[in-house]
Amino acid sequence: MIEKMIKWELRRLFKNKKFKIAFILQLLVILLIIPLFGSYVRALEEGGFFNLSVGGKGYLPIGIYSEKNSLTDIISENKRIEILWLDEKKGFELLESGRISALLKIERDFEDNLRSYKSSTVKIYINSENPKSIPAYSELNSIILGFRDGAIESRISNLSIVKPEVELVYGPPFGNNEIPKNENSQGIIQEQIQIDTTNILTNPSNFEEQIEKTRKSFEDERGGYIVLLVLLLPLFLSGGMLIDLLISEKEKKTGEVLLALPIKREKIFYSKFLSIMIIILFQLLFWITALYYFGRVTNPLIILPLTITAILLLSITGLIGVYSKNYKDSALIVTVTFIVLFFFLFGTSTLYLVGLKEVAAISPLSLVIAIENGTYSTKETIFSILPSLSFSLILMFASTALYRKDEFYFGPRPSITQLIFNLAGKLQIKSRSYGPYFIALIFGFIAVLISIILEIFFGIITIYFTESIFVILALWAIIEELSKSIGIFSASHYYKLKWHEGLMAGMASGLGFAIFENIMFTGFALNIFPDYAVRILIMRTFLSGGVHIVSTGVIGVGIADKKYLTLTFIIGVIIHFGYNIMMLQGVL
Amino acid sequence: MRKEIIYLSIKEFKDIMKEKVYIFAFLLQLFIVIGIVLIGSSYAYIQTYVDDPGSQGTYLLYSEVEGLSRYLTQESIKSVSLRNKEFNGALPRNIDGIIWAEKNNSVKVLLKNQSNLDYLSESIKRAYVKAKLNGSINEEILNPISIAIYPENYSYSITDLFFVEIMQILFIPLILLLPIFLSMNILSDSIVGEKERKTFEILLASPLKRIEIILGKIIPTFIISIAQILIWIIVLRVRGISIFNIPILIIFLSIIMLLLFSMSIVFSNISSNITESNLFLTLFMMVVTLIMFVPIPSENSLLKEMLSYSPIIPIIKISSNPSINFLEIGKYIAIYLGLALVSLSIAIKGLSNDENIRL
Repeated sequence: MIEKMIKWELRRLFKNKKFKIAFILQLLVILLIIPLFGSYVRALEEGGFFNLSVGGKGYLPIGIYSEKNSLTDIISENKRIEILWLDEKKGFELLESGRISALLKIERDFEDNLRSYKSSTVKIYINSENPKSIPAYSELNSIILGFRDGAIESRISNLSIVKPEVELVYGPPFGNNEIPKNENSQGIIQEQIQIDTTNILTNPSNFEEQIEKTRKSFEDERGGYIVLLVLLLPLFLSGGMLIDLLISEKEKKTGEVLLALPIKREKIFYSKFLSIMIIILFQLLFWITALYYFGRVTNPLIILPLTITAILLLSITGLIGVYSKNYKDSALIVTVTFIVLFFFLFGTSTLYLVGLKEVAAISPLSLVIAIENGTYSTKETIFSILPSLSFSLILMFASTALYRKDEFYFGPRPSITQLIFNLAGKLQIKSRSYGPYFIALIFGFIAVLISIILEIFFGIITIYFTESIFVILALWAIIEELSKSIGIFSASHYYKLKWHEGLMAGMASGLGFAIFENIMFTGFALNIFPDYAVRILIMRTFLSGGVHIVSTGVIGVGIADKKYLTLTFIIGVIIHFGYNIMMLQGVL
Repeated sequence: MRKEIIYLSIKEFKDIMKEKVYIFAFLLQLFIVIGIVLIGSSYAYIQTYVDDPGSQGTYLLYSEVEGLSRYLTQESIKSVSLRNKEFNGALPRNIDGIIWAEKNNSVKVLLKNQSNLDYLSESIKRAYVKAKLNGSINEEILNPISIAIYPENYSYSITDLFFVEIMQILFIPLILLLPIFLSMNILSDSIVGEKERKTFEILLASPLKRIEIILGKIIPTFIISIAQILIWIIVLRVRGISIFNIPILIIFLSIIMLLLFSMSIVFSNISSNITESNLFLTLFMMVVTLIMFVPIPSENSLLKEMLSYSPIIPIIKISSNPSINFLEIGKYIAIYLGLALVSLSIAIKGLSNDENIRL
């Protein structure tokens, strides 16, 4: 039955106008990219982006107070520079007002001096209050220096001065040559790459050093980075199609007919999911083969992490599709998720390029870069595949659970709070004495994931406005306490809690949070500084575990007795925040 | 302006404000704007390490020619002197290679990254010649130009250089156009939504002209976009990123808005439901972003001439220069105002065609 349904869905997709346009668009992009690819990579590597970008034309308005000469000819060839010929007074006036970002003053007899082996001075005036003076000065400076070098070269050859021979050697040419011949400069580069992958384990703290370390390899890896951009396109385009399949059934009311079919509801969901997955795989294969054929991809194995990314993307969009009421709803949530996902995927792979490979490896896209550069290891592979795959599985489970509910077809759609209480209801156990604590404990686990997402989101916004670490620590304390409280609220929805039971439920939620957080921390620690992992685990278990339990316990009292809710919440947050500050002082 | 348009605008404005989705979209944009600035600064930070225009690297130097190190510094090559010719062992991490300069016009270099060789060897040759001839010929010969910078002790950080460039050329225009793109969606949702709900016919039965209905729908989206643009400008200010000529910028962006909004109405006219209009808009925006923001390595002169009229150029000129030439900007304003009026008239014509409204 499910095969039949997949066939239906596929047939429907291929008839869809939207899909056709998306596919043609992709073909166009691939056709465009292959010939342009090389020149793009080169342009980006040479920092030529600004010269090629449309908006860069005439970006730097520069005043020149001089007659036309060979130097100004060269300056006027630069497309980014817009020249204004001015007299001195007008020049300074415009520089002051910001109409020009730099004023160039060249001596009257510049051309004569140049021919008669004399020296001249070129004066650059800038207005340091204008931010554009920086690029203007930098650009002018490099043009003039290039011109100067050319002038020196021509003088040297005119005067037939003997220039030295510069010879490239591959090993120290003098003294007792201890380095074997084959360890030439190539060898040194390879040695550097080895440092990148192994040495970081013991010494991860110095961010700048790591950037420096990968400075050289960065240039090679940038090519792989652009491949990523290209390959993500089919993924993001297909993500929208799953939502289309799910929502169109709701809008056209055809879903009800489907539900009447003698087939399990989750199978309907899976058939939609799988048919899109087939299309994505087909597209990826097509793209990778094409790019491989044209030499833009070095290792077709990258299809593995890309498939994992596709599953992650589809499971997220699937959940959105199941939850949304209509297109308008879904369109916005999808945009949000795609942007957040895009930031996550690209942020982590940028971190990877910068050298924080251990942290960044969590994104499957980092693995794409690693495979492209041939530097992947089994550990890295597992580390980048497992988290996203398990996250996808959780989301898929959630989607099918929601899909089984009638409310998502016939309405009214339950709110998120109701869904949370529903989940808590599922967790009810018979024993009255342990029930609330069990719910709180499980929600404590979930609270870790919620708080991580919120902490990143609001942390970024806060960092933008203030760099005060205290504000961020306070923010994080509030977010963590709020997400831990969800469990207690859910427990109190089903069980009438007395104050001491509220305390216990809060402590259970804090315990769940602490356990899961510690597991994650230890996982990271094992990967980054394995020597300290056990110590970190023990320290965290006693210190942070205790704080989470105490602070949420206090809040639990307030939730049981709503009178004190605000007060206890503030106390809980203060305990947490105080601990955060103490930890910070300890670290410093 | 008639009162009814204002009533309609207020009603539309309230409708938009009621939609939780749009409030959410606003928060999302805040996140994007901040994310863009953070991306800009990390780009600048990374680029500083990858490609420092003011330095050709640091090298170990063994020199038999006096003063070579000083002349190498002039060529932006930093050097650390070696006492002996011999060098054993691996190169330290912060050293890019070794230069051995002997008296008899022979220089040997060992490089970590050989792709620098061509450029580097020219610099070394010049420095070598200068050092060797020092004192024996007139110094002016080998120093044709000296650059003087005023204010005299001016210096800048390279990170700032990259940051200013990428923000001014790429990200600030992007941030300024973001609210307009979003409002195009709001506008077409509102028009197509009326079609889907069959309420457009009721609106047409009211004593409003069609252009007035359009105005009533454009005005609130217009106000929302302008408000958002102003908020983003303030948000950027927090980080010390200045945007200049705000009044003229707003005028120009309003004209661009009028153009894009009328196109959005045209798309709503030809599409029968929200899915279709969204598809049109997405494709349209992709094309627009591609043309405006993606660098085009092409030497085709016709294409170049066309691209030089891209609206991104005046936006960058207005927002990045403290003072501008009004005549030059006036040219762009005239062109885009003309285009906007043409597309607005097409939009009104499309709307007066009853088939477009009744599906």
